[in-house]
Amino acid sequence: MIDPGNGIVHRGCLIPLDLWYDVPRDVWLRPDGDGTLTLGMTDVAQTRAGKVLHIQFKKVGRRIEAGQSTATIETAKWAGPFPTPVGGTVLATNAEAFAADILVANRDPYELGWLVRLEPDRWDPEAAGLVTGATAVEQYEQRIDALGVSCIRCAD
Amino acid sequence: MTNSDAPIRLLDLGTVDPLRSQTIFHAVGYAMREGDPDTILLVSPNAPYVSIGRHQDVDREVDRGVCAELGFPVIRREVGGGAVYLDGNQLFTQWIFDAEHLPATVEERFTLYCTTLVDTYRSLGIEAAYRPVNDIHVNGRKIGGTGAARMDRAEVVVGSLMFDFDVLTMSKVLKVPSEKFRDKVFQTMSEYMTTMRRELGEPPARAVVIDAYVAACSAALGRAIEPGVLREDEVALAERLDGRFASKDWLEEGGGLRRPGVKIHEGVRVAEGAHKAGGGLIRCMAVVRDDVLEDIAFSGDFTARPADVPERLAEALLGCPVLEDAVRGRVHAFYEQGRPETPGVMADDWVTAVLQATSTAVPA
Repeated sequence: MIDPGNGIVHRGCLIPLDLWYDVPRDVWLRPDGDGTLTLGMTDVAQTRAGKVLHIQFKKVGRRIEAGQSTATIETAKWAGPFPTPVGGTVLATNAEAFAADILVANRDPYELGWLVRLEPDRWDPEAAGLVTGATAVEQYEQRIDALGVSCIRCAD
Repeated sequence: MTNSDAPIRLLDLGTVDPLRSQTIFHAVGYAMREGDPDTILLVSPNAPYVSIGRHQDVDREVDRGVCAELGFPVIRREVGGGAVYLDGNQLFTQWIFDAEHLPATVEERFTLYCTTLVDTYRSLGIEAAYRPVNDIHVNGRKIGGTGAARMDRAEVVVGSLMFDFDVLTMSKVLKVPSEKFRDKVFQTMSEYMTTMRRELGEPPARAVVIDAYVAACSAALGRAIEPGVLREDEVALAERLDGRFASKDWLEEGGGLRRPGVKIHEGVRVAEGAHKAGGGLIRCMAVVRDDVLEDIAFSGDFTARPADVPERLAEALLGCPVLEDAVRGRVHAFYEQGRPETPGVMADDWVTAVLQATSTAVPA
């Protein structure tokens, strides 16, 4: 069982209340208090993609437009981008954690399994279509139900 | 999953050059806008080539010298998976759908996608069956391969209907540790892969196969499928992607996804490993079927008396599950019964060599 902590669990999918979300893209964002953002795959995203096999990050210092990919992810049966909902410059990647445990985002998508840190061009979450708190939960619950997905974390 | 009642656009492009057979489905994927139709794209290459997975290192996976000699382009795709030889005997069946119009998880998408291929084969008289996650088998032999990728708003699922397959050429283009290993890959592929030709003697006409496939897709998806044409913007994007996909930079982009061994199908792989024992190097090559040693051979610079110890030990290991305790049990029993002399090579060294070769799971 997932400890919901500061969040809710819907059909096995954890939705922390203190993060911002791009719900259609299944991306979470956390303002780090110093003007930077940390981004990662949501529980729904890691479940939909499956076990990560390889991840290739964009280089630190690279500017990425909103909607563009900050990393390409290959799972056992699927390959795809990890898009950022806001434009900005890549400050750091979590390559080290993925090198140590390629399944880190499948085990812990919101903490150890973060993907990139960005310096956003500007931080205007509502303008970027992002949601948080109760609104995020409401939208994510609807999405999870519509997708018919139940989240699974890697145990090994 | 949201349903869409709009008809699916069918693009039957016939044959196109190798590069375009890859870039076109990427272009249709990346060009998809909200409200654009979902597309089923059918195409075959007009010449042979080799396709490598999104994150593979080309020089580790493909013998580029052989490809150059044979005149085969090597093209990196944005879909994952392994290196594969492709030619005009395969009909690529590419789904480029709005992500909201397909099941949410990769597994569910493959179930739907593979069902249409299975139903097509069955309507042609081939007893195909779906083997999760993304294999199709005919009496234990794999027929075709499948893959999936996300391209902006499109979810793409690709695969093929196999009229015929040139196993010998496939085994030649792969980078393998030794010629012996290549022979083993060839033998194992010959045994565990099949095609419409192998199953039916003569494959059906392309038009017959396409009719069966479109009917199977329409039934499985519950949607109408209507012939269509490529839009100008899709063609323009394919032309742009031709340049990128043909570039050295794209082909040689830092890979890193190492695929030890060669996966023949979901349950069968050919693998090799080595272990340095005090008395010499032990190389082990194995065919693993459903996690059981189906074939195994040892070689190396160790000394063994009598000289046929490696062969007899290999024989003793046939049918053994690829589990440390089981392998150890068989090797120790062999040593106790035969009392072989292998100076500097202990029973556990053989166990290590077997596990070295076989314990690494080979990804898709």
